[in-house]
Amino acid sequence: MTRRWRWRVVLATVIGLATGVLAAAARPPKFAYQRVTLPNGLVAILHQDRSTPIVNIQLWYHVGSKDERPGRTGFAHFFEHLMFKGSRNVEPEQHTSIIASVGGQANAYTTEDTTVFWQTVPSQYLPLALWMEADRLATLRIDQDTFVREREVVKEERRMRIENQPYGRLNEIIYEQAFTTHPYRHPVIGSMDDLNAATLEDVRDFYATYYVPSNVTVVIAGDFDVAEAEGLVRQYLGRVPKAERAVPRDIPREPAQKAEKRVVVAENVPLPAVVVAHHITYDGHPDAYPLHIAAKVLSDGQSSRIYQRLVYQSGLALTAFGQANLIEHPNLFYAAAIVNPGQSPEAVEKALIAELDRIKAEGVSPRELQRSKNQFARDYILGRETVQQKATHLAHAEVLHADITTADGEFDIFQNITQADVKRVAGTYFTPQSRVVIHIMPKGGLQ
Amino acid sequence: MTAMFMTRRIRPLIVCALALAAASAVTTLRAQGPDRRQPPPLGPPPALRLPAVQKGTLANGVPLWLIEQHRVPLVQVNVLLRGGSSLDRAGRYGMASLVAAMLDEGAGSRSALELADAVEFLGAELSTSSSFDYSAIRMSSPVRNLDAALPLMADVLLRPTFPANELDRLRKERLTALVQAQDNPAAIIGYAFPRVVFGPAHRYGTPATGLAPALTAITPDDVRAFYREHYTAGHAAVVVVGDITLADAKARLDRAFTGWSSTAGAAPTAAPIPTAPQLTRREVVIIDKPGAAQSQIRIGWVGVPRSTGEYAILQVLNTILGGSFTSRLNQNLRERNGYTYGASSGFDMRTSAGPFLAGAGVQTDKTAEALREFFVELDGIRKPVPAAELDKAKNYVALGFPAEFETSRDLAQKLEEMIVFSLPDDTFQSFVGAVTRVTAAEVQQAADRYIRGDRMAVVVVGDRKVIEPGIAALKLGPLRVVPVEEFFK
Repeated sequence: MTRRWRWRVVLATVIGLATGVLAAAARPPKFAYQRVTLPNGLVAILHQDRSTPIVNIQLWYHVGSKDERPGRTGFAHFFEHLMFKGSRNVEPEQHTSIIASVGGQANAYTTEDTTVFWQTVPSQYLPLALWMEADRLATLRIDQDTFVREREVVKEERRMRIENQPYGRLNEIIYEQAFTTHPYRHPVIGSMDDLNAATLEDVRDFYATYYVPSNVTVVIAGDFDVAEAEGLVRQYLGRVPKAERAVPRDIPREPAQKAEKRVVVAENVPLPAVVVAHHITYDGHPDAYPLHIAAKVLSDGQSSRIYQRLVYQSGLALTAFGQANLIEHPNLFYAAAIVNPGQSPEAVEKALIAELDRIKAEGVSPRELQRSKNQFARDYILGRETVQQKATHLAHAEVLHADITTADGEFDIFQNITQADVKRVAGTYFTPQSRVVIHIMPKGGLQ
Repeated sequence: MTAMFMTRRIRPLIVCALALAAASAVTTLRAQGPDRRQPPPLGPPPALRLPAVQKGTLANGVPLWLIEQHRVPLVQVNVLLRGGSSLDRAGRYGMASLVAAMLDEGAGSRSALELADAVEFLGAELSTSSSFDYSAIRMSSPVRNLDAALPLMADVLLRPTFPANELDRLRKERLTALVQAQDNPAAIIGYAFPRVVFGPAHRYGTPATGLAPALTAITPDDVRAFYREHYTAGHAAVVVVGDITLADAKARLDRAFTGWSSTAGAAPTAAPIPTAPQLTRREVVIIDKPGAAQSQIRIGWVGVPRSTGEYAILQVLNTILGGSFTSRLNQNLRERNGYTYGASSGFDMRTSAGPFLAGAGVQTDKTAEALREFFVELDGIRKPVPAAELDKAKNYVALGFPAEFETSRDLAQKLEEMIVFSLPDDTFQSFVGAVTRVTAAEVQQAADRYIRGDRMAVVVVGDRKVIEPGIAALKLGPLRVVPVEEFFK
C-alpha cells in the first residue's frame, strides 16, 4: 500500500498528466510455481501455463566463464558444445535430433556465470526431454575425435562472431582493459590459444566438478500436470548420484580501481570508437535497480541522453549506446560511440563524460524516471509472454539471485525507485577513479 | 539482468539426424544406475488449437483482421501498406525503405525525439519498416494507454512531416553503413549474392535499403510523392492482436484514423515484380577480402514465390537439406567436418520468386573442401530420401507448428503473412495436414526442379590468394574475381 501511495506522489510531479491515463502500469499477475529440492541437491521449479500445448525445459548449470582456470578461457562454452556429443543411452547429436523429430527446438548458451540447456517441445514429450537431460548429466561420453572436431566448430564460432566483424572485439577490449584480476577479464568465447591447449583430461575434471546435481536448477514451464511433472523429475534427474565434493567458488576478486585508466588501442576498424566505462555493482544488489534506470536514461535507445547529444544534436557520433552489465559479480557500465568522419575522439569522450557528470549532478527528471518505469513495465510483460521466457526469469532469480521471489518481485522494486535513488547511485559509481577510457583507433591511421 | 552470451546453435533451426554410430574409444565419464536404458514411451501429438481470426472493416473501407488474446494487458496494432520496395522505381531503389524509416522522424506537431519520448512514456513501442512486399507501422501498447497511443500512430501514418534535416541525417547514416559494410565479409555477401543472381536491373538484385547513388539522389519531394501515392487507404490493411474485441478495436481505430481517405476509387496496387530469369549455368564469383578470418559462401539461384502450390513440400525438402540444425548441410559441414559454426539453406519466398540459397561462413583454409561438400548435399537431395529421414522432417515441421502461435507478435505476424500474400483463409488450419501428406516422390520431384546445383551461382567472399587455387581446382564452372566496390554501385 505504501507503494501505491508513493506512486501517486511521483505522478503528481509529472508535468501534463492531468488525464491520469498514465497511471502506473497494471501489475501483471505473479508467477505461481512449485519449488522442490531433491535429495541429490538438484532444485526443480515447476510453472504451469496451459495456454499453448508446449513445454519448455531448462537446465541451468551454475558454471560459466568466470569459473575457468587460467589458461583455459573459453572452456565452459566449449564444454557446453560437448554436452551434445552423446551419453550412455543417447548417441552423439541424437539429443538435438530426437527433439527435432518431435517438432521441438533445443539449444544451449553460456554466459560468464551460467551454462543453460533448453528445449521447447509439444507437451507430451516432457518425459523424453527429462530422460535425455538426465542421461547427459549422469553419463556423458566424449572421445578424442569428437573433442578435436568440436573444438574446430567453436573456433569457427569465434571467427564468425568476433574476428570477422568490425568492432567484433569491442567487448573483449573493454573487459581486458577494465579488469586486472577477476575472470570477467576474458570473454566467454575464450582465446584461440587456450582452446587449442584444452585436453580430454580437462573435460573429465570439469564434468566431475561442475556437472553435478547440486549445481543444477531445472525449470519446467508450460502445459503439464504439476504432480506428474514432479514425479518425472524425481524419476529421471533424482536418480543421478550426489556429488562427492562441493562445487568450488574460489573466484579471484577484482581489487578496487584507484585512479582513472586511459588506453589507446589500434584495431582493424573503419572509424574510431570511444568507450567510457565505470566499475559498478552486481545483479541483485540494491543499487543495481537504480543503475538500470540511470543506464536506460543515459544510453538505451534513440531518446536516451547520450544518443540525443552525440548523434542527433552534435553529429559527433555515427551511433552511441551503452549498458549497465549487471551480472553475478561486480561488472561495468559502459557507454560507447563510433566517431563520425571529421569529428575527434577527444570531443566524443568529452561529450560522453559530460553526460555522466550531468546525471551525477542533476539526476533524472520526473518524466525520465516515469518513462523508464513505463518502459520497464512493458518489457516486463513482453518478456514473460512465452514459456521459455517465463522459465528463464524463474531460473535467473533462483540461480543468480539465490532468491526465486525476485522473478516477479523486481516489478515492485523498479516501480518504487525514486529520483534520489538514481542520483545517489550515479554519484557512487560514476567517479573519475572508477573510470576507464578507451580510444579504439583504426590501424594505419584515419581513413 | 541479461548477460552477453554465446548461443551454440545456428539460427535456422533443427532436424533429421543421420544416425551416427557410436564412436569406438568412448569413455563413460560417470557410473550410473540403469534407469534410462529405454527412452520413455511417446504419447500422441497435441491438437493444434488455432485462435479464431475475426474480420471487419474500418469506416473508410480498410480491412481489419483481429485475434483476441487476453493473457496479457497489451494490444498490438499493425498497419500494413502493400507494395514495399517492390514499388521502387529504377534509379530510386531504396525509396520505400527510406520513406518508411522517415515516417517517425517527425509527425503531427512533434519532432522525431518528441515522438519517441511520447511513445516511450506510454510504455508503448512503435516501429516502421519496409520489406520487398510491404511496409508496416507496428505498435504495441498497454491496453489502458491505447487511446493515448493511437493518435501518435495516426500522426506517423497520416501526418508525417519529413523534415529535411532528418532526411539528411538518415541518409548519412545509411551511406556510412554502406561504407562500413564493405569491410565486413558477412555484410558484403548480402549485397553480392542477390546481385549475381538477379542482376542490377531486377529489384531483388539490390537490397531493400538501396545503394549510394540512389540514396544520394532522393530529395524530400521524392519522399513526399512516394508517400502520397502509396500510403493510401486503398493499399492498407490493419492487424490487431491483444486484449481487445473487434467492435472496440474498430471504434477506437475509426476515431484515431479520422481523415484517412476512403478506399473508394483507390488505384489498384502496382503490378507485381516480374519473375527474374532463371540462371542456366554454374558460375563462381570470388570477392577478395585479404586477411578475412572466414570465407562467406552462398550458393543459389531464383527460387519460388510465396504463392507456390508446393509450399508444404518445400518446407519438408528444405528441412532435410538445410533448414534445421540436424539437416544434411549442417551435419556434413559442421558435425562431420568442423568447417563451420553452421551451414543452412532456405527459400526466401516473396510476392515474386525470391532466391533459394545455401550458405555458411567457413574456415579460410577449408573453403574449397566446404564447397565440395555443399555440392555433395545439393546433388544428394535429388536422390530418393529415406523414409525415416522424411518422417523425421515432416514431424519437425508439423509438430513444431503450434509453437509458432505462442505470442501476440507471432499471431500478428501470421495475419500479416495471410494478408500480404493473399493466402486462403484455411492456410494455417490445413498446413499440418498438408505436411503429413508429403511423399518422398514429391520431395524428389521438387528437389529435381528447384535444387539444381549444376546451374547455381556460387559466391564467395574471402582471402583470394588463399582460396582461389582450391576453388579453381574444383572446376565448378567459369570463375570471375569481382572487386567489392562493384556490388555497391
